[in-house]
Amino acid sequence: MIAARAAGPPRAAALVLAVGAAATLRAVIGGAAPAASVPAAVVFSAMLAAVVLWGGARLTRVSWRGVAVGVGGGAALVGLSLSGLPALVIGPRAAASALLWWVPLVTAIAALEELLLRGVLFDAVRSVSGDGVAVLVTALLFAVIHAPLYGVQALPVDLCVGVFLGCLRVATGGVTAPLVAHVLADLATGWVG
Amino acid sequence: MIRRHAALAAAVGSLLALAVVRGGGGGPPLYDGICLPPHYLLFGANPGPPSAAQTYTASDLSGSFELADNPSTPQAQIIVGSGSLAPAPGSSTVTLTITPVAPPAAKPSDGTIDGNVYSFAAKSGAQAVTLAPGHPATVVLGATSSGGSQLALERFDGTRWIAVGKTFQSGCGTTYEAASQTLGLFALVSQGASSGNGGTTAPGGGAPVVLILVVVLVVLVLIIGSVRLTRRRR
Repeated sequence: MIAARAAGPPRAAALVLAVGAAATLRAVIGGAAPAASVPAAVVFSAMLAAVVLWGGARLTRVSWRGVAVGVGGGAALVGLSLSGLPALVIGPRAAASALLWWVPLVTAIAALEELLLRGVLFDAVRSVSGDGVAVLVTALLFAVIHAPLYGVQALPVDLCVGVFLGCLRVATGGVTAPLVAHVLADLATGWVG
Repeated sequence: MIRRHAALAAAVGSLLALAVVRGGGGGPPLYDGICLPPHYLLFGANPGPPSAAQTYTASDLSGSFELADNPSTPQAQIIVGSGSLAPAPGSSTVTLTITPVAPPAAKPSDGTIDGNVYSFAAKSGAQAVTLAPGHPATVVLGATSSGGSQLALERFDGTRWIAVGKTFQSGCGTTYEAASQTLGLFALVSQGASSGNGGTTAPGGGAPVVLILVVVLVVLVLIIGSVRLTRRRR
């Protein structure tokens, strides 16, 4: 399992800049439909991967407690996402062949976002200002980098999800739980929601 | 331990807040991933696109409502504001329908039709009902693909296709919408790069990019301020 180790306070500013740059580039490459642009997603995930490595991510043992909490958190997010939809319309949105490229790409983006936001950036901000500010800063960035994908109206939703994932980070003491929750939620809601 | 319990409590609180801001479905996607454009159902294919019909009472018509051919992945949808439709004399209800139809023989002069032609109609009893003056409805159509040609929503007036004001792109970039003062036959028309007719506005436009830059700047200032404050205290 990949986890992130603490980064020093001076890195926080550079990490925020890097997140902003990656999101801006994704929006620019994606053009009129950034949420549906595979090239934009690939470039975005590559930039996130570079920043995560630069920020100090390293391989550690899997936290099974984190996995369990993450599965529960993911289930809660998926339940909330699908709760308003009639059961009849919940089903696969696209051909099964799309799974071959869609699942790895979505998994990579979600995992890298968590390793960066709830991993190295969280640690960097926390070392300066504590858990609460770290949760809020990373949630704010999480919300704002998704605005080009779904519009400004998605900000409150993504802000709540960002706070939730940040709380999972604090509650479990590691990035595994938010990472698992985020990946599960994106895969489930994206495929059948 | 207290910190972890507080974090779990805050997590539950954020879930409740999420339930409130998201409402009962139909809102924006939760976070990200790659949007999967739904498989487009073409008229005449098997399975074909569904139709939709809904009857509204005078009470329903006093508020805003929407009708879609498929609640989850609509290809055709209409959003009607309060006071836009009223029952005909002698009737107490209005039935709104969305029906995929064969395209008229007349082709658009400014491009080609993308996807299906849809008929949006309202009837009260046996009588056709029109939108009240000054109360346009928003017609939303899904496209067969995204990111390609410029698409504009057009209406067939019986003899030719005409643009329906400004077309806005929404959702994952495969949905287009425009306000129309008239019901009837609608379709998305691929405009080509050089056409100035109608035109499309992306959902995000420049605003979210500016938003990213502003928020990043604010967070940077906060971080730098915190670092300076912490160093002074030491």
